[in-house]
Amino acid sequence: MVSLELGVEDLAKYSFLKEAGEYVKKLGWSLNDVSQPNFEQVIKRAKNRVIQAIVTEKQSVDIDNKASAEIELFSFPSAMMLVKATNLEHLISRFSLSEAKRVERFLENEREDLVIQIFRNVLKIDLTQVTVKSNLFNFKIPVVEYLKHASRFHEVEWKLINRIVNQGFVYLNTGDLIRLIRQEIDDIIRKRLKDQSVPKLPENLEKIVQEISLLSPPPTKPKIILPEKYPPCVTVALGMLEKGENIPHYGRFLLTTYLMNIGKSVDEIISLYPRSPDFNERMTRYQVEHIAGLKGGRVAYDCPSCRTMITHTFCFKTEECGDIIHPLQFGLKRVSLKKKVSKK
Amino acid sequence: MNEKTSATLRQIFKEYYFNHLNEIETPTRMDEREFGYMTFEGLMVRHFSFKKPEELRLLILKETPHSVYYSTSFYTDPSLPMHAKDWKGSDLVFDIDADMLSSPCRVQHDKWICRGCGFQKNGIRTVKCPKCKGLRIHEINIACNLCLFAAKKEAIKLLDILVDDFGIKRDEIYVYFSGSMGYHITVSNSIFEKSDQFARSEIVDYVSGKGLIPKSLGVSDNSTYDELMDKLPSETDFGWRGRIARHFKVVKESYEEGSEDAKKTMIELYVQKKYKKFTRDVQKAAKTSGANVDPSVTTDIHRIFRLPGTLNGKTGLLKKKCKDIDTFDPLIDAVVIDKKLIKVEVDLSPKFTLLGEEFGPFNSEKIELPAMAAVYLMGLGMAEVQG
Repeated sequence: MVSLELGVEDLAKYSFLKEAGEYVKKLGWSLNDVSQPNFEQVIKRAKNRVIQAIVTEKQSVDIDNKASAEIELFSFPSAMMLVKATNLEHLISRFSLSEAKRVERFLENEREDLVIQIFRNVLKIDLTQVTVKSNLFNFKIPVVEYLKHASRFHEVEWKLINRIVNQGFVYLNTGDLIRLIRQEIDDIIRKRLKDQSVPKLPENLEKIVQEISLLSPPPTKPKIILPEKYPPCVTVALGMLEKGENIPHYGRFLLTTYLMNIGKSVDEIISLYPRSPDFNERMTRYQVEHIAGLKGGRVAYDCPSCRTMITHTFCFKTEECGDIIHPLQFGLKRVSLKKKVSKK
Repeated sequence: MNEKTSATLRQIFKEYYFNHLNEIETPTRMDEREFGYMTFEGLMVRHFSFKKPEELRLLILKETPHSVYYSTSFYTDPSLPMHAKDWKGSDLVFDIDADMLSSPCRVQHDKWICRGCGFQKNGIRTVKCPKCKGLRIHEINIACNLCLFAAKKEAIKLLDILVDDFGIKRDEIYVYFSGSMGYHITVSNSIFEKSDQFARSEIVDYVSGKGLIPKSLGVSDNSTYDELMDKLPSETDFGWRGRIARHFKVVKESYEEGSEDAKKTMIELYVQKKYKKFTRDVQKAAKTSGANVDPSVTTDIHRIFRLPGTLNGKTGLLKKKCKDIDTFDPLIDAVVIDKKLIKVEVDLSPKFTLLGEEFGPFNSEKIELPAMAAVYLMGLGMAEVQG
């Protein structure tokens, strides 16, 4: 397969590519050498890149000529270094998503052959161009690869059942490829940041790191959620428990993990089980402690997502659920919606 | 089950295994799998691993368990506790259980027992025991020919989806009668071996028709006639688009003479019922056209599954490979226990059929039954050996 030759403008847009890294390396650009041409502009853009990720999530980009493209390109590793130096987990997530969306916007106006090249390069998936004329798709990928990448997407359009699937392949259009690339870039940047080590930074850069850290909000504390604010699936499970009905395995699992996540203790959860004549506390305690990670593999289980609950036919969505994708978001999103309304 | 009954069952099972030891199937990559068994006393013994089929077969003969299981997953060291086994991959498996299909006949042949006071009654299980108010209700499901036929229909739908949509070769898909209420479907050498539970969850939703939105059929809440003509699927379309089109064509043909174009039928439906009701009808169509599989079995990558070629302790029927699902008759082909007469005391049992012979209903009766029927009732907890 012939690779397209990428110019510096392309590398500035797609700075996560290996070729972009090689270009930076070849020119010997380093954060520790203030005497380099355009050093100030690169640092300024790097700082701005991080701030835009925190504040707006939208990147404004200037790559009209070679010099501005080089500044944009060099600012990527510099911004990565600044983010890593803050050591703030939520800032890393915000930055990687912002960078991924930045690439997505470029790709939306990109020539198709370059989109294909980047898709293959980033996702390492066997992508086949479809020759049959169709207004619905022009590519296909193996279904197993599709599931590997898309089963984490929350949009219902990405559920496999809403895709065209035939003989082991999922059919996609260019927009779909771009969305898959975006997700992968988010993961790649996050992983690179996790693995990256930070050298001792010069004083002026340390100052920027502190400035960025101050902009980033502290992690939120868990909220106390009252039973009337539980999501409908949890309320149904609790109701069944009270009535002594047989809760399906996944309902029981949801109830325990949800309550565990909002800060209930093992004893508090066990106390919810009605004291019927045949109640077996020892067995219930074992099961709850197992889910809490106090028994067996010592791994606390996560509360399942809305999609998992739909698969296991234990979703009782109401209008109040809105567009939440996880039972733990139930109270939180409602609060933020109410705030929005009252502001108006 | 009293001691005498469990000893009798064990003896019958031992005789069967002694004469059919080589018919116990061993899964591929057996040294990477966990094996386990349940005793007639209800004790679960797990975390065994074997290098050779003979070792496994000898254990089965020696212990003569109520049920034998193998992991659908492969591990670096299957004999270690679960968290230390080191998962390497899993078969893609499906369980179709007549119990989940709510066949109308269930009310005639199901039964429940209160574990607290022993009170029992025929019919669908109750929530609370009317006698002692206990909640530990044990359900006994008997699968009749109708239930098992319904399960078979689901299995056939699943096979079609796996072959047509997922491109899995038919000879890589093994269908087994579970020895009780339905069918187990196992895909070997699967490209999905490394797929995690999220990917498997998507596969479940796909095969069972869950989560389909009208948008994927080209329909929105303000579609025009021309848009619908352009975007709605036809019967020959790939995947669920084609499946939904074929469903509506068949529905239309069932109440109107002659063949009708699926697209036009769907447009008619959209115009008559409007978007919201159209969506509901499409989702109902997807559920009907999909295969009703147990989601917890396919998505659980640490599951143990009944070993093919072994007896199901709940019925004495064999977990048996169906060479031809269309002609397979579980209540004939999976009956392997002989007809030697055994004196049993049956408390309450509905009518059931084995090898074409009808038994019951029984109500507190002392009776002599062929071993196959006696084992069936004893396994289900409906009878004990006399004396």
